[in-house]
Amino acid sequence: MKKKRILVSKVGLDGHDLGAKLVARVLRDAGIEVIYTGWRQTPEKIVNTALQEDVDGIGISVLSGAHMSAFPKVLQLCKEKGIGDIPVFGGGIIPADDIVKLKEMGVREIFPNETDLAKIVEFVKNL
Amino acid sequence: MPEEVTQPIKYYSRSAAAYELKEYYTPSDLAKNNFQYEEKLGDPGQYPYTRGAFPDMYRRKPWTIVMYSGYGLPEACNERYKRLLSYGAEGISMAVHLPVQVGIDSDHELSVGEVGRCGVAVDSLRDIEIAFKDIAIEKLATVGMLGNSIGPIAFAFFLALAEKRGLRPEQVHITLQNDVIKEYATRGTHIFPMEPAVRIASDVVRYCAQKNLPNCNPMSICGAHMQTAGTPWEIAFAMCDGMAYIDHIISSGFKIDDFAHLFRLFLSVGSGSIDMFEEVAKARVGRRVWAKIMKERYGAQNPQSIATQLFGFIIAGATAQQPMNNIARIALGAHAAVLAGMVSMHTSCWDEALTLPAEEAVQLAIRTQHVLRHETGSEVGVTDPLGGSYLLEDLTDRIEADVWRNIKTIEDMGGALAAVQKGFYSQQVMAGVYKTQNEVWKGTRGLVGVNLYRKPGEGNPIGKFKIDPDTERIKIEGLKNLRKERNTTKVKETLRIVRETAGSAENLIPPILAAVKEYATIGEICDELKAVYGEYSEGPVYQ
Repeated sequence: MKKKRILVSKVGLDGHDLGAKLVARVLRDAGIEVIYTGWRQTPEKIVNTALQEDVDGIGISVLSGAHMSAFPKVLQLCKEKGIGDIPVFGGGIIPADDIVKLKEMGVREIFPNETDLAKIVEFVKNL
Repeated sequence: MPEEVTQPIKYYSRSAAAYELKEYYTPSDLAKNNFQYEEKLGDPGQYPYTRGAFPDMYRRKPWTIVMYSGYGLPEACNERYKRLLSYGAEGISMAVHLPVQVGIDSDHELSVGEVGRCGVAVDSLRDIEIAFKDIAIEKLATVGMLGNSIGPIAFAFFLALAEKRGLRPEQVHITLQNDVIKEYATRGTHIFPMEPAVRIASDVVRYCAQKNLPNCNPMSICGAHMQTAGTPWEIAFAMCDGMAYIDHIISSGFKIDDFAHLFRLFLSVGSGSIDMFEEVAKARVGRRVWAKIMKERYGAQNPQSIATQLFGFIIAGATAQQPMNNIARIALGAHAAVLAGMVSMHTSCWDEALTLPAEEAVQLAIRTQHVLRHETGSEVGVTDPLGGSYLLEDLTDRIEADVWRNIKTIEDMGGALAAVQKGFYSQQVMAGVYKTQNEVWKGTRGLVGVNLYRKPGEGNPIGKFKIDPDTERIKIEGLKNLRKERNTTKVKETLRIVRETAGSAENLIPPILAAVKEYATIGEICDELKAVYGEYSEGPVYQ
């Protein structure tokens, strides 16, 4: 069975990456292949990398409050590039009411801080 | 039935360093560490300054209540700053939005969605003028901004503001963080390659040394951002970063006692952990190690070079779950900071894990410091009141030994810059986070409201605070107008001189100050510096 490939990324200017790195590590420990893109990715770069790397899921971390512009942009670009069926998920500092809005827009799941990472691993395995 | 042998539960200090703790400590613990008062402690005000820089610490001057704050448009920020001061804040550190921190303007393509979000939107001196309208900056105990990669620009903003108000630089207590090295390891607001970045940050220190501005704090070497690596790594990283700046400044022709008194220490006391004794020990080790480095390695003679001060930033491991628990956490963290002898302290607000703080939360954060200041006796009236505690002295010595070992490890790698570039700092930070987070998920590390005392299905509350949704549009409009109103010829001329100076060994502050006064923007000034130094291109990404 093909190993799942997941993109883990930080979008925008926020550089607090401990959460994203933790997610990357825990996913790798669980046998999932992770492409970690590091800091300061734009939605365009993320979607292009997702295309190039032929990923099964796109994970995005944002703590700066820029999530309501970043996630919708990623979703839109995915549709435009014909990969609108790749699940987009993420976490960071995202208020509960924005989580609702993002999921309505098509983000598959948002994991608030301190989420048990076993849940994220479970989620990714079921993608 | 075979007898069950229960393993005794072990107790550890709270940081990732996890110092094993005995049931109780006695004078024999001092003896085993060869504790000699004069050598290990000295009185407060005596080398090695473990107990603090002054015998009469808070009696001479209480710690400064600084609030790190800022969001949205400068006008809104001005309103909040006035309110903070009315609640009793004594100093203001501007939280500026991420575009400023990475040297770009609000209308840059990478600023989309970021404008005014986790700090106030600032593009030029005009925004600083608006943010501090009707605020007498000379009456503030401290004023400044984090300004890590943009140290000279941040400093120039406040020099320019002072000048416009007819104030001399000696009258304004400007404080910057300005520790750019750590940005490459963690936090991520770097702009230029590392070596020019060190030169840029050091220019602010050199400027203050040359212009004789001991009222300013141009550089706070930071351990706090690496605190998840564990206490002895945190201190070792800060010290090695400090030595990188110091070595650079000395190589440019300065003597240690010309400038070392301008350095401050920014450790995570009361920030990641509220283990009182480990936090207080951390501060004492910071002071002791700095003093030894100054005296033994650099031959410093001036007591002000050798006895450093600590700045505090109390987050106390705040959680988004059951956020009101954070009120207790922040009070405990602040208490540890006071017992540790911080000279200035920002207390975070209980709702900040959710969003930017609401007004009542900000007031409460200030009141927390007020309660500490006015309602405790021995904490504020006695210097290093925990000094002599068998536990504290044991922890202090154990941490110190580990710090020296860690400093040697970093130096064997070639020093701070080499170690950061190799990814060593971030590896240690990640190792610490991975360890402690696993403990939280396994349940061996209690976190109230997260893995303890939480109902199944319990959600997190929604933070109240939201910025004006029109912020980005209005700021970009304002920037367009600014560009029309200012003297373009003068702006261009001052920017040209910034570029020239960047290519020389001259201090960047005078030309940047000239550009700032003509309302050159942060992005425009940084573009000149990028033309000379290039941009940082990240090394191998986390594997």
